[in-house]
Amino acid sequence: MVRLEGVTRTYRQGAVTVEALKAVTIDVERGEYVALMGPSGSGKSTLLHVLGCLDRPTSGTYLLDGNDVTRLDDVALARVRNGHIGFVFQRFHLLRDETAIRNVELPLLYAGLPRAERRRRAGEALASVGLGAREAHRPGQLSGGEQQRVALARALVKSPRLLLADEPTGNLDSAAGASVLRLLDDLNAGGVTVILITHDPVVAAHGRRHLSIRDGVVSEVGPPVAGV
Amino acid sequence: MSSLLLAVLEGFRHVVRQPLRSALTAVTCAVAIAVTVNVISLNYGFDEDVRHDIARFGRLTIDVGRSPLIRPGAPRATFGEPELLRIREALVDLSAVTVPLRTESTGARGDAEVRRLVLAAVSPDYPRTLDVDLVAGRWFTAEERGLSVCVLDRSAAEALFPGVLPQAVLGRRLHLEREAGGDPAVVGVLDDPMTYRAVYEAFDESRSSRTLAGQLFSFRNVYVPESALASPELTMVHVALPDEARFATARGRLEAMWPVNDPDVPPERMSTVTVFARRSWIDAFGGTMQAGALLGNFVWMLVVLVACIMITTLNLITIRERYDEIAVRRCEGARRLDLAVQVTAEGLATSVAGGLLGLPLGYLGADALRRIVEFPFRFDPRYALAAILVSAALGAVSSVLPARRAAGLDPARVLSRRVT
Amino acid sequence: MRALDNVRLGLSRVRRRPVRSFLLLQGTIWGVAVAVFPAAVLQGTTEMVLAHGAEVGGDRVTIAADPTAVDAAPLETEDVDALRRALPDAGVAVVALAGLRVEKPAAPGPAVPDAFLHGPADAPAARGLVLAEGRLPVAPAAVPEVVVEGVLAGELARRSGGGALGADVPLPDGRAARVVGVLRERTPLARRTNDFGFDTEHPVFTGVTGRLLLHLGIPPGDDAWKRTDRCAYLVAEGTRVDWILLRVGPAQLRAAARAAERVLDGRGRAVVVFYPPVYPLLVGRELDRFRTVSLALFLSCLVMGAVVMANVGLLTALRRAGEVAVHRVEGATRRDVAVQWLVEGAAISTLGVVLGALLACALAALRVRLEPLAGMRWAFPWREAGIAGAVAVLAGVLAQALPASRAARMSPVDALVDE
Repeated sequence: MVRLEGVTRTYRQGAVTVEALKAVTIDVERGEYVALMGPSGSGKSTLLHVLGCLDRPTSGTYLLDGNDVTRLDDVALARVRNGHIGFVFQRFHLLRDETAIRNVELPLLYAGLPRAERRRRAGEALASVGLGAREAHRPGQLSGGEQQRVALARALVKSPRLLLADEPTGNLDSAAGASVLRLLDDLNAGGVTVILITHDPVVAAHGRRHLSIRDGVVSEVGPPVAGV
Repeated sequence: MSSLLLAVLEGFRHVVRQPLRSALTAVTCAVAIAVTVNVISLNYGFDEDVRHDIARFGRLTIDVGRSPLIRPGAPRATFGEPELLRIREALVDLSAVTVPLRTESTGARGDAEVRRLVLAAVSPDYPRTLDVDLVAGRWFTAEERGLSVCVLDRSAAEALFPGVLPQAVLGRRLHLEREAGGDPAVVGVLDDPMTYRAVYEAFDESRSSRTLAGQLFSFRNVYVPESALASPELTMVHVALPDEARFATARGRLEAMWPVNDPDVPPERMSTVTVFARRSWIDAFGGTMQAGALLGNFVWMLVVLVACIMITTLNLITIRERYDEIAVRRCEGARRLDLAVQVTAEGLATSVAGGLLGLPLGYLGADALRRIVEFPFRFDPRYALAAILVSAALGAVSSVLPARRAAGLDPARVLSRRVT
Repeated sequence: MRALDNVRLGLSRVRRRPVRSFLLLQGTIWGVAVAVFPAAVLQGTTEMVLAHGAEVGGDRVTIAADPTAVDAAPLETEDVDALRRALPDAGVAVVALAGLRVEKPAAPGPAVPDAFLHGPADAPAARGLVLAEGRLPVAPAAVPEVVVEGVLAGELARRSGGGALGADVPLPDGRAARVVGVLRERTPLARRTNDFGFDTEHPVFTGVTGRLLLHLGIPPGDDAWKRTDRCAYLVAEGTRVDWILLRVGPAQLRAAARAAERVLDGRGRAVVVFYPPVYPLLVGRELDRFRTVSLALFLSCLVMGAVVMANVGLLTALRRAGEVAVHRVEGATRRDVAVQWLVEGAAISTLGVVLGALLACALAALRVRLEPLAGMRWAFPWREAGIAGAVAVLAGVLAQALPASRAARMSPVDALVDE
């Protein structure tokens, strides 16, 4: 499903060159639930951005479902994100001035679906995360947990093959966080490939495969021990 | 005091750190100030010029003549020597200069032909009824009689002798196209009191009218000695008084003899002789010009108001973007006043810079408009200072709300949102 | 479908910030108003004068002997004949021309004319009056014949219990004249309009203009009879003429007045010529050059508006980076983002154009109300509004060009970084 081969990503910060990813090579099969752990500044967000086709590697290859996406132009990458990849962020990143249902409709809008169809599918996605009654609410009227579930619904509405979650419970209390993690578990059980980035071992424990990233280098590790 | 100065300097530094946005704001001010300086210059400059001109028409002069009432079939009012005598008797103790006027319409030919001029037979005292000087030559004397000599209004001289300077017109003769003929020699040329003759004539509908207004404005006359026209009837009597007190007395006496006509009185009961103090007209016209100038101010005020609204909106949005910066400054010890001063300094810096930019823009604009519209648009440097003050006021006013917002910000609320 | 959705997204941003959007489009509103308002008054008045010149005095020149002239001689029928011969040579197309002598009744009263107007049989045409019934008078006739104006005809009809035709009208010399024709009653506006084109009952005229005219020594005509529609026309005997009335096309008004004055002056006549001086300026398009001034003001307001919109656009591009990033993450291309921003600019400007046009109409209506000239009207100037509107919308779109380009070029990664 996801194959990175020798992917490197370097940035210039003034006169200094920073290597955020160093020859990363990983393989993620379809349906896997991968948890990626690393401290702050380790390059985990950079890796997520590359995986999400938001950023291009400086060198190396990224094959998504067998297709080399490193050679695609901006428009093609947008299409890939729209059709195949779902995102959930720590800070939700919902559109503040739109209702919940319009937030969820967003990817379908760029997919060119007609309005009625968009509305129907978005309604279903919201209902699937338990927010069917909150369609008309704006993010400011929802709790943190509810906002994250709206974000999840937005990721799900396009039936993605790959779901990328960047610290999805970072801004939530434990109850809300637990409910979001349960939803992720259910999604994975339904066949969606999930890559979860976190610094929290309790959250990471939900994954069935564990990777660690430190100073831009990714390595395979065992399941985390809570409290360590 | 020094912390306020620091705040001002911080404001200026911010302006320099955001060159594109500051420049865009300055351009907005520049356009507003360009319009302002143009309109003010035109308004007050034009008003000043015209009022200066018409003030020379004779503020201490009274005209007495036949009432301009059209009543066909009614017997023609007499106005001649008896009336002149009455006037002289009434004003004998006031050192008044009384100048009888006889006029005749005639064509004339010098180097060029002019279809119609007014031939005005007056005494040598005529110049005392106006504040207009000769630009060349002299007035005729009491000894010069008939159509031997004449004095020309400058615009008449330019029409009869195109391209010839007034000095060079002296001694030339013109031929009068009238039954009785006449070839007077030019002995003097009277200045043209109308700075904007070209504008006036473009819109003049009374150019050839012999109404009082037409005569006052036209200044396209040929003045000849009193004896040149022999009609027993007079067109008008001009009475020039030496000072305000005697002017008022003379006016009172003359209006007692011939009451002023009121538009509400039916024409058949109006007086057949009119006493017309020129200053009534000068003041009325001056008042109209002043009203026009005041109205004209609405134009630049509107443009400045629009600029003010837009720049205030822009500044409010800018302040919103800078909540973090403002919160941090407050954490580091800035007072509310410091922030208000900083924001105001930013506003003033860009608006005054814009104002200075607006001055050359206004100059170019006036130049272009003058050429295209053929109207005396101008850029008057006297009003540049007023325009700069307007730009400063614009900057200050459009900073009031943004400064209040910046000063009123609660840093804790702003920063706690970020810290989540 | 996608293009339409991009447009909807752009418009929704304008809707979300109504107050800010309204403030930002002040430049467009006032700019368009300044461009459209004078054009509205110019167009409306020109159309009115050209279509209804007879009603508002836009087609008439009135000439009388100058009462102040020393060398004045009264006008005569020969002067009218001279005009009739000379005016066509001067390029003036005469619609009607007549000389009238005015005779007042011995005693006023009901069904007694306010004035007897002696002139040629077709004299009413020179006053813009139309025959409604009967025929024009002929002379000599066994019984003197008159044509009466509309209001007087009504009084005569009421007195006789039938129509006015055939009724008797007492002449000042004691004879009775028979009504052979009735002229159509004029509109109230036409009756109120004087020889200068002013509505004599307009508050500004009665309060200001009328007095100013008298002040300037411009003679008010002894002309109450001109405004009552209670006159009677007879075929003239004798040569004295009190008023010469000349009707021409509105575009020729000034040329006709000047030509007439020249002809009469050449005959040694000192005259005063009345006609509405404003209408020839409008119809002849001499005030067109002043459109440059309103154009300059329009462009000034527009430039200010566009510059501030660009400034605000650049600011909000920064603030909306997160929002833009979400769109990009979910599949929006750079083009989508740019189109949405440009549509926002076009939408704000279009709204400004509409509001500005409405404001211009309100200002034009107010201006017309305050004006004592009878023919002053306003009409929506589609051409000027269209051009001003198109330029304003284009300016709004251009103002958003730089912000749109910035927003489109922003990397979503930079906005999404949480570390």
